[in-house]
Amino acid sequence: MDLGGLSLFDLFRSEAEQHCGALADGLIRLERDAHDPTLVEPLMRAAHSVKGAARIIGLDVAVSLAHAMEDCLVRIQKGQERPDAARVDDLLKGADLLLGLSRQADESAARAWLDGQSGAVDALCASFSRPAQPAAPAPAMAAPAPPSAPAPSPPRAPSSPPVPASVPAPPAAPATAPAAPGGSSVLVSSTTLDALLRLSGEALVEGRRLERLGDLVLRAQRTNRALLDAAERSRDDPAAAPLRDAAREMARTLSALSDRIAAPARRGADIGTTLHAQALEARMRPFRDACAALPRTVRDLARSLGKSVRLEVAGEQVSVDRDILRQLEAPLGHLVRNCLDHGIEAPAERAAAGKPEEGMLRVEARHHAGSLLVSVSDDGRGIDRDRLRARIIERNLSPAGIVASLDDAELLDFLFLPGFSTATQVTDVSGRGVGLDAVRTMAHGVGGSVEVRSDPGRGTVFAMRLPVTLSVVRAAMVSIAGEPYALPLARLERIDRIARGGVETVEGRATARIADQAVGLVQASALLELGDAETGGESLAVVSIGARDRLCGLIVDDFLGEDDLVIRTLDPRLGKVPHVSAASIRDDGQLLLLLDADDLVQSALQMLGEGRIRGAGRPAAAAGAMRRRRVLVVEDSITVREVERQMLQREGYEVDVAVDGVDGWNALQRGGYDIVLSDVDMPRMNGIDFIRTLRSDPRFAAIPVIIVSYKDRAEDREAGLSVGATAYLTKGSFHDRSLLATVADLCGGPLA
Amino acid sequence: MSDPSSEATLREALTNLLDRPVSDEQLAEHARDAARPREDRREDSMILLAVRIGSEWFALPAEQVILVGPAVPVHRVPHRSRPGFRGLSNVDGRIVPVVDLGRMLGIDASCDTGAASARVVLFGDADAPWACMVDAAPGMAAVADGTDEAPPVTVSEAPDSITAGLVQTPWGRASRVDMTRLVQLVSGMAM
Repeated sequence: MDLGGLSLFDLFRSEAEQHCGALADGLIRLERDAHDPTLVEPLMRAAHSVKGAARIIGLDVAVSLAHAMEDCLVRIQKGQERPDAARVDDLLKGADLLLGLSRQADESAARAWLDGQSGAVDALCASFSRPAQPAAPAPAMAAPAPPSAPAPSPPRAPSSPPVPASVPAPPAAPATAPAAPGGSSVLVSSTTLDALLRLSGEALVEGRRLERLGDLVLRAQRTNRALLDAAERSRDDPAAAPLRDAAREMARTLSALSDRIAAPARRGADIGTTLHAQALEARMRPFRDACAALPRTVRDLARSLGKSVRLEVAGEQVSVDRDILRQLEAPLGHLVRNCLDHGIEAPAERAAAGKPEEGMLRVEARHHAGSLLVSVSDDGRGIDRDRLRARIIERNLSPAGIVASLDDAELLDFLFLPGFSTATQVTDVSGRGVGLDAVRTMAHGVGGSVEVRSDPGRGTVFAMRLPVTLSVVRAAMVSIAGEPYALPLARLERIDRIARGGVETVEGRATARIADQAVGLVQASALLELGDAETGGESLAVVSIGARDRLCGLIVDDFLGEDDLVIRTLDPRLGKVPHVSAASIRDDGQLLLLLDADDLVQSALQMLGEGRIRGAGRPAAAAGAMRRRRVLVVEDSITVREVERQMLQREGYEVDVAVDGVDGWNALQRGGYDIVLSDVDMPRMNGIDFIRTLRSDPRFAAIPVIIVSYKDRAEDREAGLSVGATAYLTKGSFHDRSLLATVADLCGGPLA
Repeated sequence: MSDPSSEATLREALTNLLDRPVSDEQLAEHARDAARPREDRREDSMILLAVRIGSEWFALPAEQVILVGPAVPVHRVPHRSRPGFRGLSNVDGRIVPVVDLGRMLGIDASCDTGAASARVVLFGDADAPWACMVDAAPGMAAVADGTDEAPPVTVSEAPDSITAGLVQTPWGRASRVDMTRLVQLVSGMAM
């Protein structure tokens, strides 16, 4: 690493971050295994190093703290003191303080920060100077006790007065992870990395193009060989001599061409492939990075809950896309807290159940079939199905009759509902019901899934299946209306070719039997508004998407195979394109669009529900265009009116405008609107009168009406809502998507 | 260059309409716009790229053309079926929106990308270019300054006109294109 240009404080920071991390990890291990003498030595070294670094820049308070910690560790090493939980707490607080110091922006900020912590530092130093509970009779330097026989440790009184909890919480981990042991690393901005990835993708495409050139040369060589053979066969014919000579000359030329083009082209293509793989790899980080905070979280939470828990992390080296990794940290925290709070029992309860007092919490990551599997499991009490059922009924989420008939997976699925919790009381740790739905939201957000399995009395497993990277997706390619599209394999249930004769109609809707269930069929080209597709032939290519028991069948032109596609975001100038999530360029340079499976399912279900698609078995009548929802914008300001119209049109709505209440009322008579947006202050008939008139007509009693006004006083809002407006939005709603979101919520989105 | 009809811009516009005071950033942006050299500035000569769409010739200021290459296939975009918008293409590894100038300008021909002379032309902002297919792009022409003729009033008064003047090129008389106007016009097409 190039240390030029770094200030002394930068050096202190890097030293403190490295050693405080080691201190925290080591202290947790030491608490667990107080008899292992090899554990103390590195901790002493770490404290000593931080002390030295602090001394160089004259942070005297930090020097004293590190010194006191070092003294305390020396006593532990000499066996004069036992590292009980209270002592480890204090040492961890000391490490947190030093780490917090290192996270300050610069030296002067660090000094100011340290001044503010002087109370906490003094208390800690005082605590470290008091020898605590002496070591157990067994000499600390003795061989480590067999790990299988932990000495039963009755709860002890704190050995020293606890330090007031004024020490700041452990600071957040730095944005960049420390270098992996054994390898040096450099900081590269994500923009550079993304550009590198894009360029390497282009190199790959160009490489493939060159490779095809090489193939062309090979083909020419084969043809020429046939020519030469024919010429050789007619050796006796003097007229064939020039032909033979020409063919020989051509063979030499082609051979030279092959040497100069074909072989380098193939090498170029190979290098392109490797380069691209490497560029993708550069986006990867070890799973360990998402787990950095877990040992401390588990230790502190277990202690605050009076539980004894051992954390095991498996698959730390498994590589994960940095975008996924970043999003994974919070869900992992939720799951770990959930297991600690609800899963693992208190020591007495575990003992009574014949389990070891120490609970086991396991976090594991591995790659499987192109996916990243992350599981968090415990050996606790499992999920109490009866209590879960009672809670569902109590919360009115489902009638008792249905709850009784739910199978296990359906029942456990309720745990992921927003705001759902089986906890009878909310604790600091969990029970508010916000954790598990966040886990599911994250998993779905990246195109993955999460499920829970639980064995009563034996434990619970939360298993997430996530893509290994967001940059590459394994996708099935299909042709729709003559153009290539792709669907992520993870979101795809089945691919079938069904006989046209196998298509039946149920209530006029095309249906086929797929996977032992009747699956509604929708023409993909109609869903995407690409016009009628040519689906000639005896069979239909059907891609099934959606939940396993509620499949939707998309009829496509044909299947084009499977490939790993490098994801490219859609040009923002296109706005949000319904049903399309991204674009990609294949090895052969062909562009294809990646379809959004969730979006498709939603539209397909709507289409099937309204029976708009009939007779998918008959190609000519197969397509049914979806209807765009119609919005009436009533607004006197031409600019506001135009902006609203464009915003809504861009989203896919059909929009009509009216310039005041009277105009709006006239427009309404033409009928067919799904939602109305109205201003308040308008000439001729104002918004309040307009809504009052509209609501008094039974034809418009149910139509949602949104008031959009710059008036944001409570009484204005009340006036609007009291005459029957469904929602009242102020200018704040334009800062984000609330206007569009409200319109979509109230009328169900742009497509009906 | 900001896209005048992007959602963020629209939201910002609406917010600002309701907010009244103009932000410093907007003021600065307007100032920059006002200070930008005008498209129809006069120099000794203009280097123009001649392109043919149907039977009409157009001359594009060369400094605002990013790339001319062999025609590429265009992938339609679902739910984006405005007549002037054709879809997306891969042009040298870049995914660019492709507009149909012929349809936009009402020329009775739409470029056949399969024809040997057909080309793709990238223009506009180098970081966010637009592409259009043309039937031919035979070369550049230097046109002496001041020799271009004012377009007929039926053209200059048309709301979607992109013609800044008429110039003589080796391939025929061509409409010299006002690129700023062209980019403005196509920006509304992709939505």
